[in-house]
Amino acid sequence: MHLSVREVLDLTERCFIAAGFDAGPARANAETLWWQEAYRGTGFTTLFDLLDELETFDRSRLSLDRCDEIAVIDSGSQPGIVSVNPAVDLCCSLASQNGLGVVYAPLRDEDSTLSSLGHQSFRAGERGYISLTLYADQTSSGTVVGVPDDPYPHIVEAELTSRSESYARLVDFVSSTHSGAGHSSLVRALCKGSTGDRLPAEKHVIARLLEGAVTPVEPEHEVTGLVTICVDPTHQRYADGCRGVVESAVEGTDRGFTRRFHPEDIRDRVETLLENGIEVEASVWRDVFDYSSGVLAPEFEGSYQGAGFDINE
Amino acid sequence: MSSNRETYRYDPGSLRDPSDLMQPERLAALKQTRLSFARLMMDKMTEEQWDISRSRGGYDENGVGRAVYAIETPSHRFSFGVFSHESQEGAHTGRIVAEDWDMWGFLCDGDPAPELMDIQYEELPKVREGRATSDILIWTRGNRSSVFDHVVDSLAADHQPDIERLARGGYLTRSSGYYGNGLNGTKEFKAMNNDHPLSGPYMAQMLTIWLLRIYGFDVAEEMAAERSANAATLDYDIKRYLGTGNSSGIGIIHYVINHPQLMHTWLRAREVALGRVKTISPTSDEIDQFQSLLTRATAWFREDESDTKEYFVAKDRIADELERIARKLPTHCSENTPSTSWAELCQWTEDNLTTGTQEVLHSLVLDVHPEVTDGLENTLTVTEKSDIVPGMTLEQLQSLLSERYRWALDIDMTEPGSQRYFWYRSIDSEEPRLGIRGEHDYEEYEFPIDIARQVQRLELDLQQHRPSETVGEFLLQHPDHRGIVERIQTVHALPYAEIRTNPLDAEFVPLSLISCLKAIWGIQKAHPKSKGWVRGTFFQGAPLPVDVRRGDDSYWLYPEKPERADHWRGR
Repeated sequence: MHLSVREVLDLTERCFIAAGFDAGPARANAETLWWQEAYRGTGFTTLFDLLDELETFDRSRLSLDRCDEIAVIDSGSQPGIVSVNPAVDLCCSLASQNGLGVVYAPLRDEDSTLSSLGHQSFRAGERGYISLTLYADQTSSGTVVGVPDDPYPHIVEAELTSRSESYARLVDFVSSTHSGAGHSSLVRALCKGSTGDRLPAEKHVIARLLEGAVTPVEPEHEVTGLVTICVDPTHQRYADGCRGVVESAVEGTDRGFTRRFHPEDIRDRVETLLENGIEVEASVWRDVFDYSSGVLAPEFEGSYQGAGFDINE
Repeated sequence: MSSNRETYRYDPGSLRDPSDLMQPERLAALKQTRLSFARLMMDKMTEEQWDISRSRGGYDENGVGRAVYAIETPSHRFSFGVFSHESQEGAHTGRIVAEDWDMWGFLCDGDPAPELMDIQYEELPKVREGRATSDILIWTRGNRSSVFDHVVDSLAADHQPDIERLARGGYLTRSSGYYGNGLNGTKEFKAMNNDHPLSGPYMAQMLTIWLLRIYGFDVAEEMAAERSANAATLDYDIKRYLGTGNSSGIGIIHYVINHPQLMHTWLRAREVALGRVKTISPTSDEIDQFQSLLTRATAWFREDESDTKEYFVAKDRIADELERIARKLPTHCSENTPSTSWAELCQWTEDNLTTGTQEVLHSLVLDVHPEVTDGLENTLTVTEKSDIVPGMTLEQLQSLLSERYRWALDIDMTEPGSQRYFWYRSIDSEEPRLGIRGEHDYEEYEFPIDIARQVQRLELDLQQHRPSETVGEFLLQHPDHRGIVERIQTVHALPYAEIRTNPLDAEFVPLSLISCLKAIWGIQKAHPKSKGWVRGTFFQGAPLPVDVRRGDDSYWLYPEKPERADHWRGR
């Protein structure tokens, strides 16, 4: 059977509300899974797979552990779908202030929502930020990069055999430093090998980040997590050439990215989905539909008595 | 104010202040205008001379049958598939919740194959779970009006029905809703290209409403013909006089509150048109034209016997006040005085007459000067894009609240009755409902349409944080505010986005917002059945297929009740 785009969004939002999420976060999560559906064709089935434990997710259990060079979110052992939007929102806010934002949130050892995490780069791109999403659990690792473009951000990604070098460095930085280590410590951590008093130029930092984002390494600790990096290309610190560095990386065919989503291709894909709908198994729809009905009050006597208790004819 | 005839120039500062326009009482008074969707649809149909006819099927003596109506436009072909039925007595309620209807139908692209008709016959009655296809633009279900049987009986007896009885409702068939834009798997509005004839907002719904009117005439005539070889057909003038009935309830409240960008866009377009027309000093010909429309409107309001209860200005009172405007006109536009603009007449009306009459006047002066709406039709389509701005500081957010949401902060939520209601949806066809807080079950299903209360709660929590913190940081700790923050950051600069009311309040009258949206859609008559339920009439006086085919663009609003004619009595 086919569902319209609107139905996919509405059903997903309702499922999160039925599970106890507030309307705002529920809508944000629905948009994330819709993104996964549009880019990978798996968003709705991911929702279906989550139904059994959706009620155990709790957005309000997220807390901010630290908020300095790298902000750290404690997600309380919840899957990435719960922290993906708060992380990118926080990261964008840090980037708008400092030019660069970095946020780390732990993931489960085997996180069934990894395919949705790239939505961060899309959302940040729509807001005008360049972004990198670096993730790793015990079975998969990957990188998604987004650059603002029209009509959609330009997205590229790499699936890696092990954690990326950039991911490993940032996670090491999180675990080895204390609060307030300073921006220069972060930059040095990102640009291993840089010596002396002079910090490398920001575009060099970005270039190293990108290079390391597609280079697999065998890290000392297998820490699972999601690292979000946002750069404000209009910020004075990053205005000089950073965007060009990222654009040439995402457009180059030899930079290690294995999958590309050109804005025009995505526009065509979205148009096709709008026109034809999304094909789903009837049994999958049935379960999601029934779960989503949890936002509706059960049948009761008043159901048949008009709109409300004292506004009837 | 700019000079006469510069119809496209107006002072943006002259547009009505949202503190006036966005009050429920004012919104309730709005009337259909040239920019209302029903009128835009009709204009397009006649301008392009659409060819609409039944391509197959028919109805028996009980009105049971299937039919397909073909709609040929210069670039597209649509079809209206109808399943006509005779519902069991008492089974139809006129609401979404019902066990049966007198008809169900669908508007689709192209020509529906018999297999699609078979499938839709089964699917359409399933309100929540039924499945359309992506070729289907609209689903509708409808019922016959209380005068329907009288019409059939009269025609079967070879005479015309009693026009006085018909005039009370003004329609033969009434729908309980039009479902499209992705609902039940229908085609998405965004999937229609710009060259699609129904790509404007609500055009597909409006066409379906009009088609339901034609279906009603056909089924009544064929039922009569099946019953008697000497049956009459419904007189052309009577058909023109009858529109399509509509029944709307409190579900509309969810819609108007949840779509602030649409509300702003649609209201602003009509306000710009009004701003433009007020700059015009009419010529004597235009005054004559206005007088003529005023006379029509006065008679139409005078003839309308429907009870407006205490919710709307009584029709008789509007008629009286329109007569006062007619009497004022000679002094207002005397040949011996310098030409005065419509603004002065509007101001006099505002100072002396009720809001209902003020809005009728606005609609009428726009009809005298159709050119002031040029270009505005293209502004009515808007993409509802929404996101938070995470880098905004809480100081900036607080400032937005103080400047743009003062109306919400000023509502006293501690007053008794200020939070009496909670709004929710029932699993019975998802009909929206009101519950009384503290007395009724299901408060946990409350829907967040309480904008003022959410703003106040947000402000309270903002005070606990440093002004230099960002929205991104704040929302990490307060996810419950994400929805309202996103709304504020998205629509704060749109003056007509927020309706300045508290839907939780014991005194809240849902009808005011229902009436507003209906005016935007283009309803003519509105008869409140309660404070949360209104019936009304679309397309009363509008062209019929034969008129559309020949491009009849004559003025059709405020139709005169047809005079009894000799041939009405039969052969």
